[in-house]
Amino acid sequence: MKLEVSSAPHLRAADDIRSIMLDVIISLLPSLVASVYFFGARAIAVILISVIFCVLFEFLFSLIAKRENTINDLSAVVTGMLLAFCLPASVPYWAPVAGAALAIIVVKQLFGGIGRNFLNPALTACILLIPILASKWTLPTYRLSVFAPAADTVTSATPLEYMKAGRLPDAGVLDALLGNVGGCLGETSAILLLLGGIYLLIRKVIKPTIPASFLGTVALLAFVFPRGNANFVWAAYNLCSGSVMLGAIFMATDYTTSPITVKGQLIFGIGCGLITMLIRYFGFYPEGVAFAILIMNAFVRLIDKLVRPKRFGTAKREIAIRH
Amino acid sequence: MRHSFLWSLLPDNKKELTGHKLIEAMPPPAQVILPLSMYAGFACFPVVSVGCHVSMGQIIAEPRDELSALMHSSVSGTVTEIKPCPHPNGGLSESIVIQNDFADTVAPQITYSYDANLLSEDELIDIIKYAGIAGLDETAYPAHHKISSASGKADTLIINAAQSEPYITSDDALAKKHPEKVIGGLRILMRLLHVTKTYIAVPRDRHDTVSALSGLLGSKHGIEISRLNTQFPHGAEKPLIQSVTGRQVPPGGSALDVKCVVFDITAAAAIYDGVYTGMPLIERVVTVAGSAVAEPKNLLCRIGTPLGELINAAGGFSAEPYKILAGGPMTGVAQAELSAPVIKTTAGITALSLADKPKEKAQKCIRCGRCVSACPMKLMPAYIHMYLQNGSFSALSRLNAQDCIECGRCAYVCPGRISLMDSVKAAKELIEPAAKSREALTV
Repeated sequence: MKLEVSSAPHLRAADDIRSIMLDVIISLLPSLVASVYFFGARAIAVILISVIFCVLFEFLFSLIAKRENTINDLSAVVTGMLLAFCLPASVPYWAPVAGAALAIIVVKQLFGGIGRNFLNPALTACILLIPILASKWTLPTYRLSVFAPAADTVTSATPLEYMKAGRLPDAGVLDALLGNVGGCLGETSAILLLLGGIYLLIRKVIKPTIPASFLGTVALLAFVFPRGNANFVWAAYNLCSGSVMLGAIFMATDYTTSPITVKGQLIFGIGCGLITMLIRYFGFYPEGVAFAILIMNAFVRLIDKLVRPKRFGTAKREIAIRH
Repeated sequence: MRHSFLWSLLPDNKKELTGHKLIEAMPPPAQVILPLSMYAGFACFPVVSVGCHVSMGQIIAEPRDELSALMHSSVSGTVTEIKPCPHPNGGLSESIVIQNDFADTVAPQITYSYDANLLSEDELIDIIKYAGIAGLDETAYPAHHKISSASGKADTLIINAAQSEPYITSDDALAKKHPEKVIGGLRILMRLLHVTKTYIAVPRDRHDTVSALSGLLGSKHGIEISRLNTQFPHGAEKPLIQSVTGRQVPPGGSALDVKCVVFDITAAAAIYDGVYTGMPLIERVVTVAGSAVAEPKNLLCRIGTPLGELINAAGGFSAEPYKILAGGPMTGVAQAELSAPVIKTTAGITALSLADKPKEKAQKCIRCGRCVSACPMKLMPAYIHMYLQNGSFSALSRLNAQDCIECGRCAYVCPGRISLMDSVKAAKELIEPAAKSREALTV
């Protein structure tokens, strides 16, 4: 009888990094199916390339840097899916490859691997790709086949571009909610993203704090400053258009790049919402979510230093009498 | 409880394995091992020598300081050795080994039982002191000292029936079988402490325990049954006081700082026994359970019984055990072999099979924050771990690691499988090195 002698506690919860990542993958599947429905087979090609190359680059890096191989924890798969969701279906196929390299090698592994990055890998790669792709960045509104050449598409203005000009978009709110609008792969179907978010809440993968404060701030600011449109409709458009659903539920809630306390997460979510709306209203780009999240990512370490849970036993309203 | 554990994972209760079973009395062992460090203070010094014949309940060791108490023989027989023996908390510790003659001769001074109402308070405290009763949860703080130092300063007494460790149901079984002992002990404590409010803290789902105890209470009694949410570690003293009274023990303080005194069920019953039968604390209920035990049960056994005998009495192993613990799976001490004895604070013995072994070995912090949600003392274990690894000791000192009650929830919930408890304990040591060693002195 060989007994292990190690320290307490001697039991562990069933959740490990892999099971958490698996839950995120599952929560993204409805949106994945929707993206294929709306944008055709090219969508699945972009997603597959992104995922395969993320995993490949992580594996290659571990070989070259002689570090432990971590592809089994499935975090590279999640990064691949999220990266693909940030890209339109019409990108040239080298874009997800380059994005995978940027996200996995530069943002994640060069900073120390999982848990050590200070910026969201998928978002950073996406932001870096936009100027590289430049004119090839178009947001298609119809299905593309796998062999459709990149960016050879003529698009109409997306809802966000209408809203940048202060007008309500052509497409109805319902279209924006269901996903029947132009955009990046993962940002169209708000309702399926919400469904995925609810799955993550039930599985206790994310707390509601960040999505609620992020979306709540966006909704509140849109409602209070409707740019000449009807309050409720304008707020609904702001929530369903662009990547704010994807960002609030899947990007901003990334563990490594968000605060570790609930109070900190509230500050983080509100900051993201605020900056998103500032960019949407006053900035150069029609969409501000990615920049907002990355800017707040940079503040996370500071937020964690300043925002701590109140020390047990120091609450003023309790009776704590020393004799 | 005040703070929400909604988003944190909780260990499975597993109380159903033994919860409904009655207590079985275990036959006394052939040999008992009584470690001299059984209390919170320094090791006691023996007052018997090798070759002495001792009776059941006879004093065999006396305390050196206020935080220890008397030790008694749990069997009648002969002292065969006084030597270092395995201690359930690890390592070897000077112990008195007594060979049982199976006659169970009771020590002469323990012949009559008292009626508590006829005794004065000082006499009651003397009896409790004589009986070697201590807080039987974890720290073995002598009961008489707790009572004397609390007298006049406490306004609330809490009888702790929570026993939050998974698998362990010894307090519950005792409360259901002998509620009169629990209530009797409680009444003695109420009288000695002059408290204005008394609570019996029971987890919400233990209906039969509540009915067993409240059945004896009658209507006007000033004793309230406080129902706790079953969120480990609801039985630990600081979270317990907060749940029941709303008061938070200040950092570095004790229950008395918020005018509370906490006693567990087994200690209350032992006080009753000490007063009404004169018998000192020489036996207790121990839950033997776990995924590797054939017949999990609650056993009434003598203090000093080797752990291996308890497992045999529970049918032996049903599967290859990979860990055997003195205590429960969250805070218990892993044993290297089975010869360490049951001591006064041993509420359970847990044998875990390979099915319970965590699979992932790699340790990575993904900063998910589950440890922060899980900590009942509002600490940030992930950062304590990070600063410890980085050597940022000044940042570490601001994280209040010394508030940790060592419940183990942080390490339990960590998906990165980081040994967070080890990190927090190491941080504690750096900030406040242990004041004294309990094993320090020799005779």
